[in-house]
Amino acid sequence: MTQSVTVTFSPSHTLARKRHFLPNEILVPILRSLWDEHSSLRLRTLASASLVCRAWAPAASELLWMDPGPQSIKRLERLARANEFSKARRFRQCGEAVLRLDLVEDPGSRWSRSRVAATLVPTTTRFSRLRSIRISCSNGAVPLAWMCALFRASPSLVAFEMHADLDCPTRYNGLAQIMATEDWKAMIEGVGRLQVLRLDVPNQRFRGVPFESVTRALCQIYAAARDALREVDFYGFSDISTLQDIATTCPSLETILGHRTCASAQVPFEWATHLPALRRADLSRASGYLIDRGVILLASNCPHLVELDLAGLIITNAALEALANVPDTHAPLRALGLSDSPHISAAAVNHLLRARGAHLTRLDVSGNDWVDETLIPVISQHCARISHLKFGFISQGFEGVDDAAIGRLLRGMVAACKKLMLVDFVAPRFREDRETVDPWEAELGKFRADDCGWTVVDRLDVSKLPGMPHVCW
Amino acid sequence: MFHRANLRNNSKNGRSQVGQNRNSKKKPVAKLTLITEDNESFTVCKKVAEMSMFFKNMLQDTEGIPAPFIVPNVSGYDLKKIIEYCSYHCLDTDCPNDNDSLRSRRDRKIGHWDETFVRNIINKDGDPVIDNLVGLTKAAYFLDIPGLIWLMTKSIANTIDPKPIAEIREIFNVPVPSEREEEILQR
Repeated sequence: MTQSVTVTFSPSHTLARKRHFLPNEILVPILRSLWDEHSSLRLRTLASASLVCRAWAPAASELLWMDPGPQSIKRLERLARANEFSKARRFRQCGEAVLRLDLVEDPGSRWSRSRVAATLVPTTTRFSRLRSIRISCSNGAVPLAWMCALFRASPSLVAFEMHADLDCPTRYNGLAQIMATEDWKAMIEGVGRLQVLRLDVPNQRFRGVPFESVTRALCQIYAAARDALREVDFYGFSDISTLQDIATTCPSLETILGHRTCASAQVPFEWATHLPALRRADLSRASGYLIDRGVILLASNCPHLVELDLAGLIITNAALEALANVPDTHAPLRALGLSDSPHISAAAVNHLLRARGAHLTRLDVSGNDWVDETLIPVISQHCARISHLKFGFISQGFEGVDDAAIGRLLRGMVAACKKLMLVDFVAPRFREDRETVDPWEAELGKFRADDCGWTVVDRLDVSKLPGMPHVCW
Repeated sequence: MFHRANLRNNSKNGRSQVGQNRNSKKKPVAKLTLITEDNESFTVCKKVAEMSMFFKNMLQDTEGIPAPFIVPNVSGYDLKKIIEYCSYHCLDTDCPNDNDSLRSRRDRKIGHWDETFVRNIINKDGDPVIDNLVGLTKAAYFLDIPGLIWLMTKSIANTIDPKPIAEIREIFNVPVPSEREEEILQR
């Protein structure tokens, strides 16, 4: 006889729970929140998410390959070397997901650019959705032919950044021949749609670089790209007279980054009158061609200008006067760089800050010995929004400078900026062998102890540099 | 907590008023009555309701305060939490939206109040918290409240962040795929 047995199941959540079908409209924002190009842990989670189920795979894979960092580039390379490009359907999909490709090698990374470039050449057509590319053109890393083909294959490419280091100046010797080829012409046609163009090129002052052909090539690229261009970076460009041509034909230009540019001849300042949409101008250390007249024209003709860096220029109080006296209809200044400007005075800067400091969030007055305690009440009363402050002194650390006064100034400045998040205090320490601790360092220690939400991020130690007459930051 | 706006809960469970607007005597505030699919009713002021694009468009179309409005697809619990969120955030000007870039979404931090709000999403009916989070996300999506969608999706992402595949499957109760399906995924 069979005895009946009653079996009681305990309620199990796992059994009782229903499966969550996340619609794509919800799943995609969740996965987008997971994306973080700097966190390999988060990317690993994203990789896990792509393997959860078939519904999750497409959205997660697309995000995963959107901006492959060096780690992912290694995987790309492995796949390429195994000759899987032609047959791996998955990789084709991955290639299509890539929106931004960064092939500039990080210092210390082991993979060699030339190897990657060699393996990437047959992949050109895979990157059909690419929007932004950053490459280095030295050491034969990225063959020009590949770049040209990439321009043809990626109709949505709008941002192009090229770095040229000086390791191999002979690299440019063949540029003249390349410029005569069909590939080059095709590329020039292709750059017409670019909105962001950054060409970091060797300066003529560096030895051995046949800069004439480089300049000519770059001028061709700029000339072709001028229609849609919104942002240009002339870093180190040796012939800034091109700026005049670009400005006159590029009314939609919003950003000019002209750090360390120089002019081979006198450049007329009228280029500033052709840029009504200019919002951001970094003209720091642009030697020899930008003086008061240029700044005055910029101030009066660019009503949308909100970020201006005039570090290291030969400007006087007249330029600051022009910046202070713009009509009320002009956009408020949000960032101002005045470092290494020995010909201006504290009174003129105070006047400028009183007039246009209300919306200022970043201020750089480092490398100036005219910074004094009169700046503190002005910042306190008129610049309530400063969150990033950079200051320091050229002569700091030399004998005869009142370190205690510097400490007081630092404390006063920090107390005056109510929304301060970051202090970038350039403090060269010339006297390493000194036995006593600088008083301002003691002041700094007090700030660190206070939990007031800011940090000292940059302590430039130039004590190792021999015979430093002055420091250029 | 509910100092920013007016919220009154008229549910049959006899819950008391949760908050009062201090300025309500000065100026009459236009109010809207909402009835959920499980017959709980809520009265909210127009400003709070307009946090939801769904209600905002509805109010613009009807040009006035309509009769009690039945909200489909949203439970009483979810609507209560949604009103709690909207009451606090109805005066905010800087709301996340779908057009934000990935970096700005990543860099935006969850505020202190929002953190407490998410932590207080209690275990309704003994279900795991993730069920409530997903339910609330779906409701927020239905009512089109960008800030709440961002908060919920970010919270869910934080829940699954450092977890392997098996745990993510367990959290969302996704069945383990068959061998063939897994092979396809791996490939």
